[in-house]
Amino acid sequence: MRQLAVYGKGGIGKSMVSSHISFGLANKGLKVMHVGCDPKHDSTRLLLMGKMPKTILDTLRKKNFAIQQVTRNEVIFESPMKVECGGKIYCAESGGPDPGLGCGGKGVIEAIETLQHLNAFKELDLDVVLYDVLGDVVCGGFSMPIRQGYAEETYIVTSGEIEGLFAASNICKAIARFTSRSGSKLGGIIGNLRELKNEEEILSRFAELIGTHVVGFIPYSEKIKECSGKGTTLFQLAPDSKECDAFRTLTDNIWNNKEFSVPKSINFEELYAWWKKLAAKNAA
Amino acid sequence: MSMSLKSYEHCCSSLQALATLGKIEGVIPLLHGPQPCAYQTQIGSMTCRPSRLVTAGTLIQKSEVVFGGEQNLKNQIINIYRQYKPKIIVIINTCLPQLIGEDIKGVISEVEQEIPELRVTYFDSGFNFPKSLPLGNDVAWTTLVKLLKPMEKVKGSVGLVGRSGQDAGAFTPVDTFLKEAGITTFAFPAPHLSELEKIVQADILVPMHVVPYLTCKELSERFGSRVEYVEVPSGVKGTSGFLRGVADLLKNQKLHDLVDQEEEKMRPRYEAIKKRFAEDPVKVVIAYGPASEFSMSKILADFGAEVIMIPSMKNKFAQAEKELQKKKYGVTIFEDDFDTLEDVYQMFKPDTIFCEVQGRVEFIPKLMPTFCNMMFLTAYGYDFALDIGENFHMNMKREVLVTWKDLVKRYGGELHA
Repeated sequence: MRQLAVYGKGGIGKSMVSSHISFGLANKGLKVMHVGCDPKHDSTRLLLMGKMPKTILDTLRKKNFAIQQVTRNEVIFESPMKVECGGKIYCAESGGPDPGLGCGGKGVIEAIETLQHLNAFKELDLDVVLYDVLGDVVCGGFSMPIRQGYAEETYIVTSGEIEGLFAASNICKAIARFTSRSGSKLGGIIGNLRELKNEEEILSRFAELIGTHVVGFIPYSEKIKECSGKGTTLFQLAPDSKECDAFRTLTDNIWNNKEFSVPKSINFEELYAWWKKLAAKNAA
Repeated sequence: MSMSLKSYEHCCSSLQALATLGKIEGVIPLLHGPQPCAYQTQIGSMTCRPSRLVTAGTLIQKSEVVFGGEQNLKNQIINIYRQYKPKIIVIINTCLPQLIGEDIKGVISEVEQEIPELRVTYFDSGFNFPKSLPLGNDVAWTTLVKLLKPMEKVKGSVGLVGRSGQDAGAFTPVDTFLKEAGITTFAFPAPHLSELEKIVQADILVPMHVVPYLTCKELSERFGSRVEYVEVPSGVKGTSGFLRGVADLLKNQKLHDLVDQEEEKMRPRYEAIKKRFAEDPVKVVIAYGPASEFSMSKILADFGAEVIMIPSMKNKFAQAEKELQKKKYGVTIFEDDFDTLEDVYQMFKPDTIFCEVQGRVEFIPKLMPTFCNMMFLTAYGYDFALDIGENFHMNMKREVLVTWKDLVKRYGGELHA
């Protein structure tokens, strides 16, 4: 069983991308579990036909955090989407506190420990677990998927914008910190394009800079935005589109990926100087 | 800083704050924290002099760490108000709610809108005041002082400011002399809130102990009282020194005369004790307190004992008192780090140790005479000191030590007494 984590700047499109990866992997006949690690609990929405599932933490809360009273069917939901080759998609959402209350990071820790306690990965005979984790690695809780070796490989979603690249560099810092303890490594960069000039080149160079490679580019597209409104994926909405093909390629590249690295992180000043130079060259 | 549990210097202020606030009629402390904090503080506060002591806790669970514990806190405040009708609730906010960023001020504001007659305040313990247990007294008092309202000052009056809840009603051995000399006094703490809040009327604040530095500072800044540190009024010489200091501050000759008379009256007992200490010298290590070590060291050094004191406080009053005890009483102040009290014992080889309960465990096999130096020892005034002095040598050689000598030897112990 492979476990992947998807990180990236808030609003960069992690859930959209990771939902498509989960579906793409299931379409290969694999049994996939998609775990949303964000109090907003909207990561699995596209895989559950627009529905927001009951979260692990809400269930735990009802049972006063008595983990032994939680059953698998209460927190893991099978996607009703039709998948090819006998693949399956299971969905779970950590959930968390309302905005401004409690500790979301601790919530993620509890949620992942609950899945472990349920022995769900083995009992469902999973091939892949994908963790879609909230924005930056703001505290220990949000590093849980990589910190304790649950996810052996991490993918960072970013555009060519400086903010996205800086967030990616920070995430690299967390990966590098935990590699020696957990063995988790960076699998590559997923370029979610925003129509910047020479964005693919910026992303490829950035990947080189931090010591990794790009595993796929997702084009900027109105079709992808439509998925969100309709609560579904491109595999249902526009299976023959070039955008859907981009997700297929991305999924293949991830599945066949053998290049994992301990990335370097770059401080903002250095990164900004590098980015400005490249942007100016592209403009000329 | 590494963590060596050498003394109260490394304890949490919550315990003493809880014990201290719970002693005041009309005030209920509410510990906002998880079960271990509540347990530790409750157990600790139970070792204080038993009296009416209502304390409460929110007992934060894992669920509240994830989802927030503000509603629980609000419910507890309302429950306490309904059951006990206190005038003031002081929230002792522990590390955990601080970590998850609980909005305590917001909760207080909501409660006060619902129950306008209730005053609620809070302070952050734990990380903010982690290093000293007696500091808990001071922080608790300071928090309470923030709720007091101004009153008209009484010219020439003295506010006696003590260390903990146990001091409520314990100033009499000193206060009596001031009153007899015609000085108006106010006590802080007092057993009742209605008495305690009059401290704002005091013209001059005179600390009774080294602990209430922040309290005096807050009172001075908010109500304009002048703060004059004299010395801790413990022991014969210390009590006289304190009273004469106040007499000088107020230019009150009558108080000087009263002290003269009292000294004359007790002279035979005082001299007899000093003679006994001279004939049978004693070396004492006074470790831990909390803060009582400052008063106990003075009492014994005054009688002629060789005293090594390990102070638990470092505020400005404590600095002043340490200097005074070194110069005037010949006390050795030991402030180096150490791992166990046994190390200090090996260094000084004292005849006896004053410490709190945990420290004594190290000396049980040695049958080392030890004294429990807990905060309920009301160390102020002449009488307490004289009683200690007259019974000291007898207590050092209690029969039980001799009776158990053979048994102790059989189990590998050694007798020092």
